Amino acid sequence: MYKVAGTNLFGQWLEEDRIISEFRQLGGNKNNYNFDINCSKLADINWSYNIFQCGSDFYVTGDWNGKENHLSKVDLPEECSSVNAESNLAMVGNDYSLMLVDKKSNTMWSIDLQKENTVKKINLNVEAPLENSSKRARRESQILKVVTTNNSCLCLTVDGRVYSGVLPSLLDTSHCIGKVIDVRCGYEHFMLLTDAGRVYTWGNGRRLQLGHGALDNLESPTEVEALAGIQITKIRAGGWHCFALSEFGDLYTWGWNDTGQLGVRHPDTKGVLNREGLKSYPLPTLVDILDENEEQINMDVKDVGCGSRHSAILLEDNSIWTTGYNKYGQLGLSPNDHPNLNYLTKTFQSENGTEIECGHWTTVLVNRNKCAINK
Amino acid sequence: MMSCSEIYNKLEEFRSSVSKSIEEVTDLDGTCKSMLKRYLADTDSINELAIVKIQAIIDYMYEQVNIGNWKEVKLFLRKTITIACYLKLLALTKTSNEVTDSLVKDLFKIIDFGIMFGCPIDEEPELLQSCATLLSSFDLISHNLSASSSQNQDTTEVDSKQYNAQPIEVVDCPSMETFYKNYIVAEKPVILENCVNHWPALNKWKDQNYFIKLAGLRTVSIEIGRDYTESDWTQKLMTIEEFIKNFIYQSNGPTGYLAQYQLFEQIPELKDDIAEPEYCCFSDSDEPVDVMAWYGPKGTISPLHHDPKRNLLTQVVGEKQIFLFSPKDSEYLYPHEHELLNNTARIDPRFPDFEKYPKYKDAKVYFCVLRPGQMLYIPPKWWHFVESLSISFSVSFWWK
Repeated sequence: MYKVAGTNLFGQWLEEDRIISEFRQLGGNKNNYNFDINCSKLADINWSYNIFQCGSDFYVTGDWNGKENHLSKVDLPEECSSVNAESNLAMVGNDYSLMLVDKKSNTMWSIDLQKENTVKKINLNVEAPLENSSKRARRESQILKVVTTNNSCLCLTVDGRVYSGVLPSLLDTSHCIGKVIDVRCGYEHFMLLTDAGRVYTWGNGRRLQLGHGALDNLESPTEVEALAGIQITKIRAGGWHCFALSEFGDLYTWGWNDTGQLGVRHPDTKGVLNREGLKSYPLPTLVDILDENEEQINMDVKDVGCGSRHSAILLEDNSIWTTGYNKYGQLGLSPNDHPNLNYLTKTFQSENGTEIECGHWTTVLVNRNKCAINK
Repeated sequence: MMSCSEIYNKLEEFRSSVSKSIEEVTDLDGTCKSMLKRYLADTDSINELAIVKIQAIIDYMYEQVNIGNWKEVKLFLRKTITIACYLKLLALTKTSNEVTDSLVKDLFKIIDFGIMFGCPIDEEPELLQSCATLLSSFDLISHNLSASSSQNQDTTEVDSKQYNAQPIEVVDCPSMETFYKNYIVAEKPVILENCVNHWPALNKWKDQNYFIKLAGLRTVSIEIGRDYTESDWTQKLMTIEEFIKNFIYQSNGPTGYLAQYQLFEQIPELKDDIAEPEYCCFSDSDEPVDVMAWYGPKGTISPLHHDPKRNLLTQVVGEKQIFLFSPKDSEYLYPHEHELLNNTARIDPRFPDFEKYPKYKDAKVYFCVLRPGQMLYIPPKWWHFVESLSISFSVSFWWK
């Protein structure tokens, strides 16, 4: 089950109003989805369209070839017909193309959005030394996850290797402590998390998004030293900001804060004042959550999501708190009343089993339990 | 008074050349491109919803141009901002019934956003500037002009002897040859007199109301804080009218400074008040001369720094005290180490701290008070510290 707040400018949620400014269940009153929306997987949220995976099919909703409010099943390359799509295929997208991934054979297809039916095949195995040596090695090198932006792409394999670039090539992570278990992309910075709870960042740092206290750009994953000693369990990257969640439910953030996306009220580190009168933070700073009476809330943070310039968190009591840019209702509030929020504010009460996923200007509450119940 | 539809019709005259400029943004994603094409081709389709969508393109492109270093941002993204801002002007004037003050203010805000974050399209390089000129010519808003208060009108007197400095040579309108040989080639600073006597700016710009009348609603970026090396330094967007009323006429709070600002590209009318000095023709490149405005109250400071280009700093209104040091003296000036700040030094020549910076005593100080109509030639890499002694407007010409 999906509850959504944010942009529907291209009809990407198949709802009527173009800005959804309160969390709304998809396929509710008037169900426009011709697949089982509640049991489908929201594979990717883009600026003008979404990708859903339902069984062995992929659907795109929103802008499609210049037409809005579109729902269309994606024609997959013929080569894929023999693949078990439900378990082996994944799809992500950006403003220019869809990326279809065969997780087992490490093959990617790039489907151009402007030139219909232009499909480019990309093989990932180029620099994988263990490939083909034994059955075991092949199984372990399965792709776990793919993330993409307009300018880059990251692939993570089950055995913790990371491939990066438009034509992905192996990224050196040999110096990282532990096995890589997650990768995230901002607009121009990257994060990875290892099973040792360590966080590494690289890419552009000019908006403080790397968390090393400097503006330098980094070519190679570099440990966020201020978090060393803290076991991190989740990482998230917004457009130019980051979040890291600790095993104790503490949330740390750093990066650009032009619209309040960091959600910090009384920071524990020194910030840099910006044009909007808010401070951006070059080092991880603890996010403090205060209720309407300015009382500290001492609850664990369970989940977190970042859009390009907004953020949302889930607390242990299932409340949803949002902060940052709200021009398109992505905080679950009316943009007329609140063009943005400077720090985390409770905007919704959700239920057990909720997880957060954000798009550029969207916040989605996902509840996978609900599918099981329905079934 | 013009009606909305009359303004719309005037703005609409640019539509055909803007439509052609879609060719310049072929690399744009399909969603944005088809939307821009559709609205440009069929203005009847422009409704309230179109305004939201056009604004969404502007907002999304704003995020896109914030990716990477500003100088390397792909031009098609910035051109898209220009085109979308133009479309928004059309959309707002088409869907509004009445020319209200708030509509006019919004139109100027869109134009200035487009000029700041967009870039010229080949088909109509001064598209948004022309839209602004058009709107200004309709005289849609009456400004509350305030008589400049006596506060902040005074000029601080400086005794140059206290700095133990060498005065900078003053030359009366030298010939091109003399200037080239004695100062450009010799890389020597000099004050040029009687070279800009013909500038209308010398008279017109004395009255701050002139800017309010000409461009009061235009948005500019103002530097706020003592100087850019301080931690509370920031930049803020505001209208010229707000800047003059809150930071020039009266200022109880922090200093506001319109510094190193491409005002003349944004408001071409102001170009008519000045002229590019002929001396700038001694150039090693084809790059155009960078003309920047420096406008602020008494007490604005540019900390000791150097620039890579040649500079003719022209004083139009008020006075500035300026300290210069040769590049040879760099080691005595304690430059900052960080790559983003290494053209800036720690020395404040007004209050030298010889205990903290002992080597400074070996630096040779050049000093001048620059007065209206005078032009200071600062050779490339020469260190300079500048402080305004009164309300001040300077124009700098940078060239290679």
